Amino acid sequence: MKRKIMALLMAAAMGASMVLSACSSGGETTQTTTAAAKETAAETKNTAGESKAEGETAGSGLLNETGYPIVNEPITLKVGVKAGSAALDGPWADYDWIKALQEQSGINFEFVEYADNEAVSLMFASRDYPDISFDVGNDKQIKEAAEGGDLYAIDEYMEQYAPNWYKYFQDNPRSKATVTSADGHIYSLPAVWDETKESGSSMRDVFVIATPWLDELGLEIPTTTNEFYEVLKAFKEHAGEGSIPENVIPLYIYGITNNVGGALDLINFFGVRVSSHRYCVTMDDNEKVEFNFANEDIKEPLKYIRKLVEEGLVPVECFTDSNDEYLAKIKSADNYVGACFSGVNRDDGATTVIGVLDSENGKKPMKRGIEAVVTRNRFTIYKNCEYPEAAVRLANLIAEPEWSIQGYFGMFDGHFMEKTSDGKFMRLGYPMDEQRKSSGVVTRVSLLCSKENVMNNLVFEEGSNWGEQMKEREIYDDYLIPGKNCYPNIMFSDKNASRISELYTDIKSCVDTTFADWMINGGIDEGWDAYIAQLKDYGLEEFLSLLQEERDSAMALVQ
Amino acid sequence: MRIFGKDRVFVFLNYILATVFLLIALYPLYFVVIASFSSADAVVQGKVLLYPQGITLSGYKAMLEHTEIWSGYYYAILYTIVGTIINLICTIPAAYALSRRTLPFRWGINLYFMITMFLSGGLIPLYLLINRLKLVNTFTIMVLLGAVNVWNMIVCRTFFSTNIPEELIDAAKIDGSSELGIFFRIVLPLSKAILAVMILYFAVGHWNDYRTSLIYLRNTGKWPLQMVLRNLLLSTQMEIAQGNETSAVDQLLKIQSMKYGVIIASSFPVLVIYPFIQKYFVKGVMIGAVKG
Amino acid sequence: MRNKKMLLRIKKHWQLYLLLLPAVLYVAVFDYAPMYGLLGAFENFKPYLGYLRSEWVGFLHFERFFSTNAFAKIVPNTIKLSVYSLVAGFPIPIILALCLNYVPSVKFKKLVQNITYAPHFISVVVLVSMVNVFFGTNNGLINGIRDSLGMDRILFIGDPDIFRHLYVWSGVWQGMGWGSIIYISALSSVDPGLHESAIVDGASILQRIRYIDIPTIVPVIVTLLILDAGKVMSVGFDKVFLMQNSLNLSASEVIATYVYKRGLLNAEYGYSTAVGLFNSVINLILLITVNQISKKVSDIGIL
Repeated sequence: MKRKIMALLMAAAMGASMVLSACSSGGETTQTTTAAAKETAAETKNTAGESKAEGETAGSGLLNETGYPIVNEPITLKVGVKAGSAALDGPWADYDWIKALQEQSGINFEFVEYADNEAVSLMFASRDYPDISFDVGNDKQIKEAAEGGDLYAIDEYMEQYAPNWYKYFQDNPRSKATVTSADGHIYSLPAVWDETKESGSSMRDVFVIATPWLDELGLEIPTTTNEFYEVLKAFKEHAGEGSIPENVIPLYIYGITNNVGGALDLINFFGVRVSSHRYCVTMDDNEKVEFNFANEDIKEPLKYIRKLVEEGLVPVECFTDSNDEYLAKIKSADNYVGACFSGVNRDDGATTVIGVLDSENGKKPMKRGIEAVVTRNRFTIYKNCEYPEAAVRLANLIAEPEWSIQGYFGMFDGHFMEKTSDGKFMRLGYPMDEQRKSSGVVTRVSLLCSKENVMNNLVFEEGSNWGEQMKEREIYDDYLIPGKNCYPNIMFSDKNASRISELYTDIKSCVDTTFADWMINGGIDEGWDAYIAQLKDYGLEEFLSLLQEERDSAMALVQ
Repeated sequence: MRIFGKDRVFVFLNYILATVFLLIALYPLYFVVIASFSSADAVVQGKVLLYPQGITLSGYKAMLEHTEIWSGYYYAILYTIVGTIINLICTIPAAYALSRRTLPFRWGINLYFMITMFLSGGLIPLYLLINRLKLVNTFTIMVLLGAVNVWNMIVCRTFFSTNIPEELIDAAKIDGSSELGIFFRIVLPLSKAILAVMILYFAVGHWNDYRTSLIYLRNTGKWPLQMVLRNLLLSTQMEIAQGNETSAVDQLLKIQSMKYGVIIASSFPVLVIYPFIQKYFVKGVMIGAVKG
Repeated sequence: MRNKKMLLRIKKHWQLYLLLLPAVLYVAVFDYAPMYGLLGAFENFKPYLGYLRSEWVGFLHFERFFSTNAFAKIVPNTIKLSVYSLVAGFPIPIILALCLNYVPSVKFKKLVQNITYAPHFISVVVLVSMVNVFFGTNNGLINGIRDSLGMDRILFIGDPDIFRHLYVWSGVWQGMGWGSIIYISALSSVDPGLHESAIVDGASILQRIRYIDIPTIVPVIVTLLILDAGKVMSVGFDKVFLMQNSLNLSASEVIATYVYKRGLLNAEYGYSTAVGLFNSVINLILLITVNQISKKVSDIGIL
């Protein structure tokens, strides 16, 4: 009986397979004609060219040159986005901000969700484009698509249809230079978030310490690296007493060179310039590119950290932990970390943000700065789009002050934000994680939060968590590494980009392994020369000269 | 089983060995279970060893807040069932045909399949092809991709050629059976053990597969379970890789607490089907059939 | 004349070809049709130029890969890791299957089978966090035990040599039950009559394993061994990457992780295709070598 059923099943399956194979034989022709793929690629290009011409006529029929809605009949655009993280973000279509935007503009969005960078990269490789995209594509992908004639040059439409952006780029040539491609066009609009201080850079992590423990031990907030060392020692010696737990970690650093949670700030305190730049470079005062980890001055802070590791004040796990473990430790409800560097302070009062430490070596302490006003590739219009003017007007609408700030902090609904009587945008106090779920498009869309447009008008509700957070960061203002010492945020040219990444991969892994080894086993002085020789062997000089070349040609554009 | 004197020692030692295997596998599994009921904090601090610490259901609760999980189950089951059937149709008959020594061009056809294990044009041309066939973001591609698994085909072929005696096939031919008849009426019923293994391999392959959906689906609503869970769990990595240690720390910590529960949720269905598959690994199936 | 004979043979076996048809068609469409992508290894691929018109660069990508500083490290690392995995991981499922085959209690046997099978479903992310929980320096289970016995704590996670052991044995743990399934299935087709007569002849269990069971499953063992030899260069990316840290990098940087890191900064289609092709060629050579040896020794081969 069973045998029969099995046989029947297989027979049915075979039948189905015939049908399937009949279907797939149609596709088999592709095997023989690789050349055909070629031709179609050329065809698509042609049709793309034509649709531009069509687009212009079709667009002008529907388009309202000014006012809202942008189009006089509803249109639908396919909007390419990266699928948000389910735990942190809501679905794109559900954001209040997105819903309101569609209503005001008269443009319906049909989201095309790419699961991750790999899916995006296939989209570009196959030129299977949406109409417009938000946070999709990196510099290289956008550039190649532009070379292939697949993108609209937004700058050509900007003066007429996107005055907000036009004005911003007029007023901020440096920002304009960072988004302009080598052929002089702008193919993708950025997200702008201008938090820069007077020095011209914005800061990253804060330095926090467990003040309740200091109070219990009757200690002052440390102001020098020596005092800090004593405090850490006290934390360790008093483990298990009062609220200091048995398994206390006096200082947690997430590796040495990590941008997030690493020991870069601690190195800064010794007056040594290290930054958050992706390639670990800064500019010296003569506009020469310098590699942060080949500077002899860094030996002093490294030895200091080594001492902390040796005495068990920094656990060795710091050099082996993953992101998850790092976060779980510094944010643990059990509070067993005495001090650390973190993007945001905890909001339960377990730690307090404290200022820079003086190393007493005669150099002024520093604090990492970063020149990150502009995040590229946040609004791109592809040649598939039949309504380029309407799309550019949409970009302009997003760049209106109200829309930009609401996209960042939540809607003017009396819960997230409020518009004050004197026209300011006030951020109200609300739990940290809330707004991201309901309207947190943040920098994933081309919001224009420049100083003039938004930031000068931004205020915080008195006594709210946000206001406090802003205030406590001010203690670093005088120490921030100025913008002129930061390596600018630029697009690399084709000819150098791959060489730079090749050299950097080797150089960075040499730095990381060497530093970690020094922290665990010591030997900084003895090993220094060999380390520098190794870096040179890996092409440090070529690396720096390429970065210098890229930087100089980009800056020439600004002038 | 009858055990004789001299084998007593062997059986005893064998029991010990089996117990060792059992314990080695068991403790980490037990750990997953207790960790899923413990606070993420306690797990990271190494406090969870023998029993749950800071017992909480928050991990499971956080997981169930995500309604995508239910649609994830639905699609995962759908893709797994249909995909496995297609796998079997493509792989098993081919493996059998290749196991027959009399098949003309056998070596060449073998080579034809095996080359694909080593040479592939990569993702881009495959994507271009699938895009041209209009299969991106369709159900079809989710169940069709990987229909032929050469590795499994070779394992299956080896099984057929060692376990189905040529004489049996010759005898059936003399009785007037066609090749198809032999395959369906004689070979398949004799090969339940390997069929069971193949069903398991293919089904588990589909169940654990997130890459197909990652690359070919454009609609998060149709994601299978593994993709949903991956998206949930990788959030911390993504955040930090982008250089933001965001304000959404509470959420990120919640994800930590889900990590172990997620394993239980996603592997439960495949653990449950195993005993049903196991039934087919019974001794003596084949010889009985031959004699009968 | 010969052609005619051939045609006749093919015609005679048309039903077997029918059985092959779905697989042959699928492979033609989804494996062979896109194979022109291999051209990408030899060119500077640009999407808008496509594979036929992109700039031809010959062996440039290969040269770049061979001349990179890391090359001398990542290739040996990859081979060491996968050969170690193979040597440690290959026999254990066989031993487990044979062991279970002689457990008299059916219930206990099923229990062991079910439990050893389960770890296969633990995702790599969780597996690696479990390794960290067990082998961590300050909070780890093992170091906790060592500490209470008065022994020094060992930095398991950050030691390049220990990295290999952790990687391989956690893999063995995870894969043993799953790997044994195919052998259990193969053992179930051993003719019970053979055992009956062996028992009558007074053979011990060990003798029966040696002369009945093993010969039966040898074809499966050899097939799997040959197939595994063809995977030596393809160490999976995820687990190595997650277990990697700056202390164990000298052992844990393998081809896949290195190419990934370079691609993070500046993805290049041509370069990664070239590296992939290099791996495939080595894999193919290894597979053919092992296959030929096996054919000579045991007359079993997959090709």
